[in-house]
Amino acid sequence: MNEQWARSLFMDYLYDEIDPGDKQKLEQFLKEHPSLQKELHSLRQTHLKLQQMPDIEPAPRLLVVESQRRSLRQWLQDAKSLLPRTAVGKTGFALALSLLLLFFAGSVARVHIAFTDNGASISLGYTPVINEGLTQQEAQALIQQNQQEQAALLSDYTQAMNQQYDAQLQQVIQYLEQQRLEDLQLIGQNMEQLQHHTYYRWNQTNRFLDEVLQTVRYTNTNEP
Amino acid sequence: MTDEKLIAQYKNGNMRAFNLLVERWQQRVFRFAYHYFGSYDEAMEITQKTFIRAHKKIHTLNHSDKFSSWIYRIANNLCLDESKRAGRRWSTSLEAVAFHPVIQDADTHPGRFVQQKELKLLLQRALNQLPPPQRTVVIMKEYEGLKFREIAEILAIPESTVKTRMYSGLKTLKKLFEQWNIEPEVINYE
Repeated sequence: MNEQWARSLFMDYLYDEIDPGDKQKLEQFLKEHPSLQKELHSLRQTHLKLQQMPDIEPAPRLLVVESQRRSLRQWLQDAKSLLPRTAVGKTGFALALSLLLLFFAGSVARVHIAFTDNGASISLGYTPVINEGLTQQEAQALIQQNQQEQAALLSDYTQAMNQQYDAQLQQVIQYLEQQRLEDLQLIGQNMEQLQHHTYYRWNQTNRFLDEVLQTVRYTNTNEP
Repeated sequence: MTDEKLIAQYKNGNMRAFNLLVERWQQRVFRFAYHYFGSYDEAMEITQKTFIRAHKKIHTLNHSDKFSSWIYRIANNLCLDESKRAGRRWSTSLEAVAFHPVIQDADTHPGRFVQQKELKLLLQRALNQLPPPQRTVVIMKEYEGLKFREIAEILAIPESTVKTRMYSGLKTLKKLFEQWNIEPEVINYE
């Protein structure tokens, strides 16, 4: 026996699946090899830890339900049982079936039936379009009506445009009048300022001239 | 009534027999899938798919006495498929797991319920870190209580391979528990 052999028995020993003879040999070998004994102990501790896993919540019960598949023959049998059994029932069923087939064929072939004053028309594949023309009087009346409508429309349009132009002109006039008044006010203010300024200058000049005259007079008086 | 008889009855057109089989095996399949993914919804989906597949393929089951292995194999294959399909969701490297468990001392927790929830989360998280082949074997052994021989039959691999995977799985889990600093007191809490 060697360590490798002993290790190969660890799992069997740990989970109690070991042969009694091997168990005795292994236990004897472990007594002589403390390191292996320690290793086995640590494995057992790990095993015990894993066993501490709490119980899990049980899953809801599953139920397998067989699908209700039926063969074509069963379908046909079921359909046959639905058919009427009396003569009247059979006739009615045949009539209804014929009508259904007729409608179906008509819809597939695109049958079109139309009734006009000239009679009935049946067509396949497309719907006939009947074009009816106007008489001369009707055409003239239509043209006249159209002309009147056009004239009325043009008149309304012209009137609306004139009104719009008048309103715009009035706005321009008001604007220019406003500008003129503002300009006049500005000119007036400037003129007033100029007047004040001129008056001030005039006073200053007079005062200066007075002083000059006095000085000249004084000089003339004091001359020997 | 044995599984074999129920299968025989179902093959003769008795739908109720199949429903009895479902009733008998549903919780085991669900439990396996739940431990595999740690998700109730995922487990429910796998359970449903397992029985749908079983319903479609049961006529190919020649040995009715192998039904248990067969149904577990279907469930395991579906889990593997789902695992591959959503690979990034379930495979995380050990280094990437930065987990600091709060379970260290049972006495410091106000209620057992809370601790049980945390323990469940912790163990499930550890299981999810295992590679799928090891995870399957560990779950089948620890939570399904199957013999190594039965697991080998389900997975169609030698019994020695099953034991090697179990050994490796336990080693990995031990390493994880140490890394997460899980104290021994946890397992003695009762």
